[in-house]
Amino acid sequence: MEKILIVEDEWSILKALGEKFTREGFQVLKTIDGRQGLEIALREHPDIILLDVIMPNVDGLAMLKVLREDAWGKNAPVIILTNLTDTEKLNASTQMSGYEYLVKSDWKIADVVSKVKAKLAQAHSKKTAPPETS
Amino acid sequence: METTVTNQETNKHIRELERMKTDFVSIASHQLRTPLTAINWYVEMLLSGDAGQLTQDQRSYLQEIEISTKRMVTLVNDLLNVSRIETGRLKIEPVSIDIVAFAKDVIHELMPWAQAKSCSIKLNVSQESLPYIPIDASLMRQVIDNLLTNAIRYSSPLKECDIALTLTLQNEGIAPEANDPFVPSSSLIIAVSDKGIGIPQESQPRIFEKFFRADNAATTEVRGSGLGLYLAKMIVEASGGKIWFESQEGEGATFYVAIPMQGMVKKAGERGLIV
Repeated sequence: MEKILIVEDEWSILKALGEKFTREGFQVLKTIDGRQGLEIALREHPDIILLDVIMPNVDGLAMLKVLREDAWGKNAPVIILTNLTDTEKLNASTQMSGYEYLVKSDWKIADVVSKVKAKLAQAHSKKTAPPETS
Repeated sequence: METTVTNQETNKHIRELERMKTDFVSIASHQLRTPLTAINWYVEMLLSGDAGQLTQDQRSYLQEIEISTKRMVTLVNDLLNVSRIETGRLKIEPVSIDIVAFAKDVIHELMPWAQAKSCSIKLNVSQESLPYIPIDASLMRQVIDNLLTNAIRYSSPLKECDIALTLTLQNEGIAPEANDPFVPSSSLIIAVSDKGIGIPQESQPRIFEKFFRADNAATTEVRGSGLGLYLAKMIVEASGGKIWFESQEGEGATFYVAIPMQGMVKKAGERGLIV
């Protein structure tokens, strides 16, 4: 069973995603705060993280920055999930490795699931690919 | 001297008010999107049977909620983009996409509303293989969505509501204006045609103005915001393209969008991303 961590401060969105991914057969970990999200991520090593941007205390981009400094976290698959339309803030996130984002209001929840599955498949193929030889 | 200082202060005050208005629209739009997303997602889950079987009435009521929330999302996006345009912050970020798949997706999204209004939307593609087109998909979706929405909204109660979305290349002569020197020489033409109430002659010169609504538009049951065509024009022109229309009152309308195709690639067997 694949493990997904959802970090999202909007309860109704968190609940919808949690229930959808549970129904899709994922083990779901969820929290409303970036600080707790980071703790859970580093402890549980989820297969993928869905990360909101604007959150109280530690926001999504700050959490991602610290996550990328960790030996495990630097390659952890992350999808930034936001309603943020402030392009400057999103552009700042693009400077981080492993960045990929989707604007929640533009996506159906079924498409979010598809996107997560595609990202996981991509991460698995990277892991199983034979090392390049010179 | 004193007058100059006063004028400077007045201008500064006006700029400050403009900035406050823009910030308000931006924040309000963001705050509105979150609950709308939640509504959309729960409705989607209910309609897909995640919470069990639905009766026909339950499904029908949920579809009405779905249609209404989508309209609200469109309105919020329109307001946000008006704010961006008016402050020079609209960014065009083109990526080469499969334009046929894109058009099918836009139509698919509007189908629940179209069906509720007994409208059909047909996609016509002029040739089997169309190039990948570099467009800002999010903004162009808004343009086509607005044109199709108008075609549905202003359908005639006296006629069949048959709407067509046609994709063709510039040199295929879909409309004389396509050879207009102001239309980029290598363009994709997107045409949205309907048999609706049309645009009265006297309203035609103002049809792309912000908040303008043609006189006969007031007779339809659903009021538009008057932002859709204004935004479509702004977005298309910011993308280096052109938008125009042909219409006769009572006979329907056809809106054309010409999108420049610099950097296009032919759609061959495999999907390729070439900008």
